[in-house]
Amino acid sequence: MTVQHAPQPQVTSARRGAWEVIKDYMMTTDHKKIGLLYILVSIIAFGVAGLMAVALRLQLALPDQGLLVGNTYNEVLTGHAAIMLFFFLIPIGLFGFGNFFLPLQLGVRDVALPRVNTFAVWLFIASLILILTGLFQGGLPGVGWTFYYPLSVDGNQTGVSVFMVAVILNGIGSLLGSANFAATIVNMRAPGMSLWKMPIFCWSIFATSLLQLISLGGLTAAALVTYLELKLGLSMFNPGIGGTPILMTQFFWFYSHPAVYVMLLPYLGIAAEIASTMARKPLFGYRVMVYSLLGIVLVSLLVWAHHIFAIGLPEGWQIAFAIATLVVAVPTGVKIFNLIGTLWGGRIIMKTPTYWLVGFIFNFLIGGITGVSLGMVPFDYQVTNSYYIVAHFHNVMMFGTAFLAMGGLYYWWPKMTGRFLNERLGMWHFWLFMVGSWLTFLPQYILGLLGMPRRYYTYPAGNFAWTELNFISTIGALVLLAGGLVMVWNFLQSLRKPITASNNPWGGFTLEWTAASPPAAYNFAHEFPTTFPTERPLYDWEKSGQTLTPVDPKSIHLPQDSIWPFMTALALLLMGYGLSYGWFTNYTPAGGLEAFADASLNFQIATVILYLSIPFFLYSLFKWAGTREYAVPVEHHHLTKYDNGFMGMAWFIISEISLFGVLIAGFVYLRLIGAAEPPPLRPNIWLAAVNTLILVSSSFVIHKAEQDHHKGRFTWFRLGLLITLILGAVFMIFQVYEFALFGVESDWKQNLWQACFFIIVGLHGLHILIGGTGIALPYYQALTGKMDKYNHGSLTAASLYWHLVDVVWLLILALFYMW
Amino acid sequence: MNTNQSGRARGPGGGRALFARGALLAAGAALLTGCQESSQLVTLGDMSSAFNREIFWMSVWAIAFSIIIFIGVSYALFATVRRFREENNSAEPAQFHGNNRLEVVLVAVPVLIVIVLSVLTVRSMARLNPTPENATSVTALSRQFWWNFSYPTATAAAGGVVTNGNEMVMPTRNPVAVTITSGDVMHAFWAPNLGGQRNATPGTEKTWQIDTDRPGAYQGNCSMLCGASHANMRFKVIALEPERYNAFLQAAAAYRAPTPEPGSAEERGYTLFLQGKPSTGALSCAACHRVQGTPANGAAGPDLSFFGTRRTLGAGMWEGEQAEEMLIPWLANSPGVKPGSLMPPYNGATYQVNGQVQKGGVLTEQELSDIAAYLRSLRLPEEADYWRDTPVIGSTEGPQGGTQ
Repeated sequence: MTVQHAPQPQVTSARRGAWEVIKDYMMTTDHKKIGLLYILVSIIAFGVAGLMAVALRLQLALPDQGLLVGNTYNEVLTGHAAIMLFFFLIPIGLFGFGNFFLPLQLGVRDVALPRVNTFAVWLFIASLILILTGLFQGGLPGVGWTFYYPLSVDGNQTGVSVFMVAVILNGIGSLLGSANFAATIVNMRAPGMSLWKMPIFCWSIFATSLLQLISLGGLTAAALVTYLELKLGLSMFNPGIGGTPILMTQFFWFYSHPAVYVMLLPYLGIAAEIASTMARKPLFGYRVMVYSLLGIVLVSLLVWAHHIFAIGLPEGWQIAFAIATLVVAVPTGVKIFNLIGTLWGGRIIMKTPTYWLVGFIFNFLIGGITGVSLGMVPFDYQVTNSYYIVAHFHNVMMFGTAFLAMGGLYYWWPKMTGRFLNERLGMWHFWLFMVGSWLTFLPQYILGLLGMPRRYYTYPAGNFAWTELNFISTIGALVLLAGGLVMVWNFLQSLRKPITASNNPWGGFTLEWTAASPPAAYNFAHEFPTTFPTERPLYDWEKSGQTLTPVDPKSIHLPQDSIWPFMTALALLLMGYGLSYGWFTNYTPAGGLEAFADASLNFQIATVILYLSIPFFLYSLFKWAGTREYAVPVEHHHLTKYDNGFMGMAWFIISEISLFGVLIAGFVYLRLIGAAEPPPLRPNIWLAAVNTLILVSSSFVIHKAEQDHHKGRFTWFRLGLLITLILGAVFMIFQVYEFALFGVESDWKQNLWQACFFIIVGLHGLHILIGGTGIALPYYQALTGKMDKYNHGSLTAASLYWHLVDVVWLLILALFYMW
Repeated sequence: MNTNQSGRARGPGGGRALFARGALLAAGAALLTGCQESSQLVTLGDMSSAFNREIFWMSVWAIAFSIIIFIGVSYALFATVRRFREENNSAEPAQFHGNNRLEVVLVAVPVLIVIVLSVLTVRSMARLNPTPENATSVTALSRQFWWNFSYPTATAAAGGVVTNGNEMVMPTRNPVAVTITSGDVMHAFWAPNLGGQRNATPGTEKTWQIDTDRPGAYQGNCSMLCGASHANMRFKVIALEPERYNAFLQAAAAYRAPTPEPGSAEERGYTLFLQGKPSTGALSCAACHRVQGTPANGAAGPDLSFFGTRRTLGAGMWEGEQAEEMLIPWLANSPGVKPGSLMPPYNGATYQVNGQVQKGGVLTEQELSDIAAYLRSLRLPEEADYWRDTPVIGSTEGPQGGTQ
């Protein structure tokens, strides 16, 4: 990294060649560049998915059109939804603005784990590329972004495997990002800034990260089991062997409902920032707003079943979920009231960000009210799966939170680019989006009440008002398209202008406004006062006369660039490609197991890529571990006694617990209702007992190794790691033996218990491999002399993960070997 | 509990009077769109159904709260912006951090509303969800992309139970308990004029009630994405006065497919129907379809016992005259005219089953029209024809309009 010697890197960067810029972004650990990557990719995804939406609307403009027919329509529909959600609305707020502004608002120079951040963003991009490869491999998935079982394993469907793999990779990237944010917030705030003095946007990112970590396991579980059924015939959902498709919807919505709030909370944070800055006032009820953020996190985890009221769950469940759903209105209402309260009494600067904010509040009010109507179950029976739902969720997302994504772009654009967006174009953009959204989606509420189901590629002429309302809706989509073009034009024309923005163009009160526009690589060439009376430090310091202390940028050290996180993500892209289109065996649900030589050329190539990707992945990972984070020894300081690696892993582990929790809950349910009965020949307890002994002792060994490292006994430390690795390998050998035996004894496609066993115990086995690789990394670091008393490498994180794998095993022992 | 009782205290004519709400909704939509003509009205505002009446009375409160909240909050928002925007307000902004008393009120009021709405929700669920004792039972089987409606209490004299494909007949003024299941992927049963949706999940059976006071033909749709022809998986529900319904059911139970006259087109069609044409790879229709009173007893496709009485084709994809015209093209190449249809083509075209491209068999035009002639001969007796004089709900073309 040369930046610390060059005070104004942006001047030189403007003249670099395209390849230099791309290389820079591949290697960067700078949270701002990573944030910009997320934002750029999200806006591109918004454009792609938006064009898909226009195509869908054109097909529906009139009855019986032939533009997108049958499964082609379903593929575009699925692409539109999946890309909008996973590649625009979730990432731009949480990871785009989150990465760029969280460290700036906290007054620090980077996130807790900068290289994990690089890896996460490229994994995110890899998953988008992976989904799009479906276009050249038989088509996108046509099963809806909800991929309900058994449509997902229907032989006539294409692209489901790649969708599942992409969802899982996207999820891993997303979890790493979330854990990174949580660790950053807990470990790395500016000295003196307590949690309760953080800007509200930081709280919203914290709440969202927490929600991701807790709930994402549901989606991963649904995608993983679907994937395993496609590739191996392992199923927890197949009604033919006693499974239930409803379980899949439970897994899916356990994440996908909270995901709705992942698409809301960061934007509520942005809304509050815009309101406070533009009204030149403190937030109305800062603490109440934080509590309502956390309240939404809690309640949103308890409402997933409201997506499946019509599936016919027991009434008691429906009522519980209905009430929880209605309760969501309370904290959400508080947010709306407090935003208005923040505006009240101010001197509101009516610029484009304010328009997006006010537009959001008004639209979200309509969306919120219709949302409450859906909590009233009997009404939901009528309109669920109808266009009323389509109108409702576009109401809260498209002309709800996406308006705040736009507001965030207009608000922070000067900070991110050093340039202003054109106000006139901005107003055109706003009003075209506003009018376009109303025209597109408000008629869809009526369409729902008039009985039009969603996801219809066509409809007959003659149903009362369907034709007219659909036509208006399509006109609206074209207006939105025009708005999108104005948006792109506005961005592009702004980037061609010279940098003119001051540090604090809106008169904001939070720390990001003390950085240059755009900020230098080191963020701040100053230190902050250590008193934070409120969440608006700049206002308080101006009142109290406290000033920033200049720091010589040359004395600032930043993490050095490395290509290896990118290469590791690239290896996972290749691995994902191989896993999607190839497999270790030539198995299809329709055709069963066939000889590998009979597979198509595509399949064989993909399988070869799969095999090659594994050493590539390990090589990149070890190179990454072997590269020091900082070029020179740097004193790390964090707010807790735990280092950043440990802190990040501690948060990440929540997601692992949730993944196993969801799967195990599903298994326990199937076992309790008597659907999953063990076959007469089942894995023996004695081998499991030996394995338990091995694994538990390995946990003690690695703990001892950590102690040795701490006390400077490096030989003992290295020996400890080696013994742990050997114990893990022995465990794996026993398990592979047991799996092979059990797989031969009976057919897992015919026995639900056995399928559950292979899925859950197998997933644990995969975790042993991951954990073993995790331990091999610090061992490698120790062997190559990268570790000393002060540099732990990735030891603490690896050790913590190993303990987790151990604890999960004890649970598995009880559930699969003793029950 | 009888769902009809939930239309309490509104008297027998209440249902019809309340059709006003549906009409109001329709009028609103008409005003919005300038729409004048339609062949049917599909709406959950149809007050002939006790289910919809219950939802309406449950929703009245919610709608009232919504209007108050919508007007109140938008007024607060726009008044605030108007009053405090820079151009209108030069005063220094007051730097206050909130108002706890107001905050408590702003939490308490929504909490109260939520409590009221919860009570209303639970009360309506208690009225709507239990299956009434006296309900008529119908079983709905959904497959890609069609429906079979069977009547478990009506055993056919010719064996099996009375079953009709894609057209469901039900009595008025009595709740109908539809037991819904799926033979492949998830589907959902939805006839908005008659009641709410219920998902069809493979491996489970869920029973759900619909009802109406008014005889007529109603539109139903699959409302759960189920594959290529999700949009073409429609059905009709024909509600008949109880006497006519009983007559239909009796006639249907006694029904045997007519024996074609020797040497007629129908007879040639019948032979092809049963045997197919192995020499050209044309599979027999009977392998997948059932026709009551013949050896044809397949279960992979919809029941064709009363095909000649039906007025829809391809699971409601075509109606009336169009259905007549499309019959031959449909038989010749069903997947060609209905995306993803799993019925093999008979003109030698290819189609896709389980991801594998397969070639259909070949029948001549004459043979196809023979099969069509046979199918058209499969008619219920005149007195059991459920389409006779049945009005289509919401048709602006008079009682005989719409698909008639």
